[in-house]
Amino acid sequence: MTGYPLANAAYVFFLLALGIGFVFYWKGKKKTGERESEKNKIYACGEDMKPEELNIPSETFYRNLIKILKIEKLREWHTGVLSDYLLWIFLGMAVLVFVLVITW
Amino acid sequence: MIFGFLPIAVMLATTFLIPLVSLKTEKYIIHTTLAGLFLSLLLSISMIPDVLSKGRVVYQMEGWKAPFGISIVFDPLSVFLSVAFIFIVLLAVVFSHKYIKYKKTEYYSLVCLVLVGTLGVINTGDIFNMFVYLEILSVSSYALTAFFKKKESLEAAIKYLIIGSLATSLVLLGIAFIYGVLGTLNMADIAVKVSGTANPVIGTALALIITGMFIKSGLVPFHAWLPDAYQASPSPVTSIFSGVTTNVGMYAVLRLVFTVFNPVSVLLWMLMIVGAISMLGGALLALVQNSLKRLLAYSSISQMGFVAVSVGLGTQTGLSGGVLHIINHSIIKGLLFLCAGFIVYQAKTDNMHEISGKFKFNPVIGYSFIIGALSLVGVPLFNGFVSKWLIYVATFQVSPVLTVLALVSSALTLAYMLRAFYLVFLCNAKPGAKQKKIPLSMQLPLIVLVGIIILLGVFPGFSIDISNLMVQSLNKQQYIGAVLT
Amino acid sequence: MIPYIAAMALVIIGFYALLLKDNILKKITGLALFSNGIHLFLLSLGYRAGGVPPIMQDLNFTRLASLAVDPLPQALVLTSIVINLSVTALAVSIIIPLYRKFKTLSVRKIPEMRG
Repeated sequence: MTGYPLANAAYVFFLLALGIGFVFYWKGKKKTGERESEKNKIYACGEDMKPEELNIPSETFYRNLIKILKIEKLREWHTGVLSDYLLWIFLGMAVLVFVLVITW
Repeated sequence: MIFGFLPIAVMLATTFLIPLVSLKTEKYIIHTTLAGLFLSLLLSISMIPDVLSKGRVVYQMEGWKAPFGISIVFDPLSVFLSVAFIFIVLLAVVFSHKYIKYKKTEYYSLVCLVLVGTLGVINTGDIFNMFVYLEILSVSSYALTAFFKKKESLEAAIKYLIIGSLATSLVLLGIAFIYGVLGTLNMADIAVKVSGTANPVIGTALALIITGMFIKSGLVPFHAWLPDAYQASPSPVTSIFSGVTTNVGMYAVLRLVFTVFNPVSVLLWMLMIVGAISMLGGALLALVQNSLKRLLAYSSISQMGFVAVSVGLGTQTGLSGGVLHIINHSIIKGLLFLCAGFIVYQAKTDNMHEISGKFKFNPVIGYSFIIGALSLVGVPLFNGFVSKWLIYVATFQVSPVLTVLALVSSALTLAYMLRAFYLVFLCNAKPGAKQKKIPLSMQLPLIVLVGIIILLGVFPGFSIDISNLMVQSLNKQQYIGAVLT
Repeated sequence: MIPYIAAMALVIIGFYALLLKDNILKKITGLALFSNGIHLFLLSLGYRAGGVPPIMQDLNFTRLASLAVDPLPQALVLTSIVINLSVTALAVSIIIPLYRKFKTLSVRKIPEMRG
């Protein structure tokens, strides 16, 4: 290669990316230690707390956001029927053609 | 230099070499494919010094002169996009070495054909040539979607086929109108002849071609094929789709709007409106999905909306942020879909509520998913931050309403990516399930992509310089001057 | 004038069939009609009244160029016919296992992927 700096930088960056990835891989291969030692228990101000009780309920976490923004309605519109999807495309195309022909 | 059309020729030769090799034995198919891909990558990288020093390199096929023959134009935009796309296909092929266990010949030939189509669309200077390569790309991806003959794959493939064929037929109708009015098919010649006329037929033609390209890139009223096709295809194929074929549509829009036709304000407003609707719609719908790949597919729609908004601003910062986001998005989504493939390889299911306890924890998948998710949101130190920052700055200079919309979409991105990470890795987690050993060929692409994300994030000047160079290659006068010597 | 009207009629009929019919095979027939209409439109762009086919009998270029119809749309249409043939063949070969698994070809009854 003719020695242009950006092309050489591209080669160096690919090799560096591989190097950093290997460092991550080797670091991750260490054995993880004991899980239930005293330090790893969940601190809940002196009460007994099992890990499962602290799980955030996944279905209802965004429930209010979904209700406000009416996402379930949007989801209903995607019926899966091919004719509806083609109708959307036709309407979008009609709007684009109309706008571009009027103002060209 | 003879290097001109060699990347395309090498990939085409590999496509037809693979069935010949498989007649003898099935062991060497992957070696043939990797050899062809490496050779193509080296040829593309060796075009870089030439293109950077001369600005634009133009070849005429078979020696026919410019308005009458087919030109192949290499400028910084097409060369850097080609290198990025060949790299992503290379990593996806390495991943699919152990993922695809039967029908290997068909799979690898079709993947090479997809790459032939992409390289053809990006590097050509003739509008009908672009249509032909776009059809090669589309037909191979219809066949790849239906690769596993499950119920959902066949349904997704037939929907993708009908919508995609409609798109390319609309492009052909637009090309017919352009040929009828202007009498030429060369992009530079069209650019010269379009500047004077004010014919409404050209407006119709442009609207039809842009509709076809919007369908191909998955912007909102035209996005309906995308979630089904991404969910039902094999995971390395999905990472090729999101990294390569969707971005080809945006490249075609860029080239047509800014270099061939004038970027009138109506077109830019259309781009901004469609982009804004896609940003919000994709992010909202991703919040309620149960399937990991479908969630990532809606996320792709949202990121393409970001690119469309940023490109539709028309300013230097906007264009450079949009083009950089195309490359960053293909790296990040390639990584995320390969992670999804990693998970599906073990858990055999895609539903995030049923995965827990079915796959073995591995630091590679953990780091990859969380780094991909953070980079998609736009956290500093990763490469998503660079392009998102350019998009925020560019939209703020035009109107702060768009910046607010972009920030809301980024917040929604954070919401659904955290939900995905929580459901897959942290919820009811039973570590150390007894599963099969993960082969190294599936971990290696993830590691390489994470390395590139971190490098591009820590040295952002490199990517900003490259994206500024790529934007300058969209300049209309220089394009016409170089091609029509 | 008549070929243009016929071509646009084919395009509109094909587009109607593609959008509003319920059976997938009818949609694919509509797609074939749509693309054939576009091919007819392209071909009739190159027509010249009283022209000869663009085949060289002797080496007189200028005389041929002033008499022959335009050969470029013919090349475009040939390419496009081949492409549409392969797309139709691929579509039918996807529909055959689809019918075996779903037992129906109606677009309203197939979808299992919603939302």
